[in-house]
Amino acid sequence: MTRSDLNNWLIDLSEINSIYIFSGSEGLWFLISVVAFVWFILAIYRVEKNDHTSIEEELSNPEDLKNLIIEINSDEVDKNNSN
Amino acid sequence: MKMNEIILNTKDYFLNDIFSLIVILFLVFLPIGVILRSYGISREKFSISSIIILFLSLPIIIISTYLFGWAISFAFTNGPGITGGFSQFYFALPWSSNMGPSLNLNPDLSFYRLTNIKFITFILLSWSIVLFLGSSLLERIRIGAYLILVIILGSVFWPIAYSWSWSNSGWMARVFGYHDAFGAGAFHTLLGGFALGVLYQIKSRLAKFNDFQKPRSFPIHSHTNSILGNFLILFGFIGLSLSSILIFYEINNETGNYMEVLNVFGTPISLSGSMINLLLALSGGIIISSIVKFRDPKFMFSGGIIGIIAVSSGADYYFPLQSFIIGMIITFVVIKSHAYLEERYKIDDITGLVAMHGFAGFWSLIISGILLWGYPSSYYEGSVHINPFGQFAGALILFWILGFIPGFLSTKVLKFFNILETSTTIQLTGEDISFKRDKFIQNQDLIEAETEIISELTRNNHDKI
Repeated sequence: MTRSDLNNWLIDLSEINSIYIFSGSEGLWFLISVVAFVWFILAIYRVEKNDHTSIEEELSNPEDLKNLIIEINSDEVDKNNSN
Repeated sequence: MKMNEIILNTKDYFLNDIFSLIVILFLVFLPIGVILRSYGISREKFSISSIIILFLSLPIIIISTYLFGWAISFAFTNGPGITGGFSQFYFALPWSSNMGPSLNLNPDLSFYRLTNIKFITFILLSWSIVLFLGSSLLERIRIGAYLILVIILGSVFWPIAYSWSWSNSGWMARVFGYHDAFGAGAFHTLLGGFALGVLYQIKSRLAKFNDFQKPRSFPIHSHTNSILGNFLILFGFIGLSLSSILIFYEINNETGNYMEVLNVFGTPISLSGSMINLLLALSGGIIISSIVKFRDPKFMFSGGIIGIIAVSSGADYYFPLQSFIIGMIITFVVIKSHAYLEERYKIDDITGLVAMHGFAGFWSLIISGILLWGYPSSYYEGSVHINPFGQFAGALILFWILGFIPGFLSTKVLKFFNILETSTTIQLTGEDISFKRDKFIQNQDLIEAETEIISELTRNNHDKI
């Protein structure tokens, strides 16, 4: 059993073109790929949004946010100085 | 009169493939350089997420190019616009058997053997163009929004620009007398126009402008990476230039048969002469940028990039010292334009993309139109000769119609749906805060676990470990 018309290599190779499996079903694979592609774009939006929302919730208190920013910026200054 | 005929003999296919692999090898430096530079110039709190955002464009550009970008690049060579039919693009459609493993040993199909390796080159060019775009939008754009822009620029408008202006059957050369040897128009001018459209809509980074509306310089994360990235981009530009050369081709006409190196329009050029032109322009650019932007690691070495773009349009027919002077002049103009754009229009262009690529490419086209006025633009009989009006029209189409307008409109739509930018909190904390938080939690967890182990050992051994 084979997944294409190709059963034997002892043939005139110039007469065959595609050598991949399920030849003839390219249109179906195209449609599946388009769906997967669109799904990825939507999914990455959702994943990023969830990540950002959790951070924003943790830092909902302006005082916490202010302290964190001061800490981050002082870390950056320290690292730049050490470089 | 007998027309020129350009032929690639079947026996030279292998050599052509080897050359394409060398091109790919050089071309790989371009995306690596852009990523490294972006990592270097982004702030510490955005550095890791910057790489992640840029790297995510790779699968997107591969898939979208396979699904439609590659076919578009063949479909629109006739023109203007969509007139003249969609050419022979059927072999590049995603459901074509040629897009998968095929033997193509039939002599009638021999041309298609060339297209698969060219596809990889095209992918690298497409990835590079969207990475350049991304590097200017970092620290405020959302991943999904960037990926949508990647598809629009990298797999729709870049392939259209490529087929209109940077292919041997592109209509702009035949109709306008347009000439662009190494991608000043299709790559750089388009990129700059698109970036301007996006940057015009997207907000600048928080605190970019002070109370007097003067731009602030943000501290960069790593000078080493920024400078190294610029060097690698220069290597990548060699690949970009080589990718627009046809080698081992034969020109046949009534005077005889010649083995020549050709530019994308099929006219004979000198490979070494063109490369010397690019090197001289690179030198001219760096000389100027190192004086104007002395000790500015972000822009000091970008003069080399500007210099190369400045002569990309006509480097096949310039004399090297002309390239040197052109590189110097355009670099000076471009660096001043970047500052003007930033101050006058409040465009927060992190890598100076609009000026460095868009303006440099635009000026490159205009200058080559003036200097190469009267040269034959294409091997097709009856093609219009190179002229400044054709170059100007081509530059306007690439910058505004294929670049700015799509960039502006697509960003406006994303902005309308409120899915363009990250929130103020995230812009303040930096997107790397997630990694820092996870690292903190993991460290805390580890410390607690290890403390527990120590306590257990102490209990078992009667206060001795």
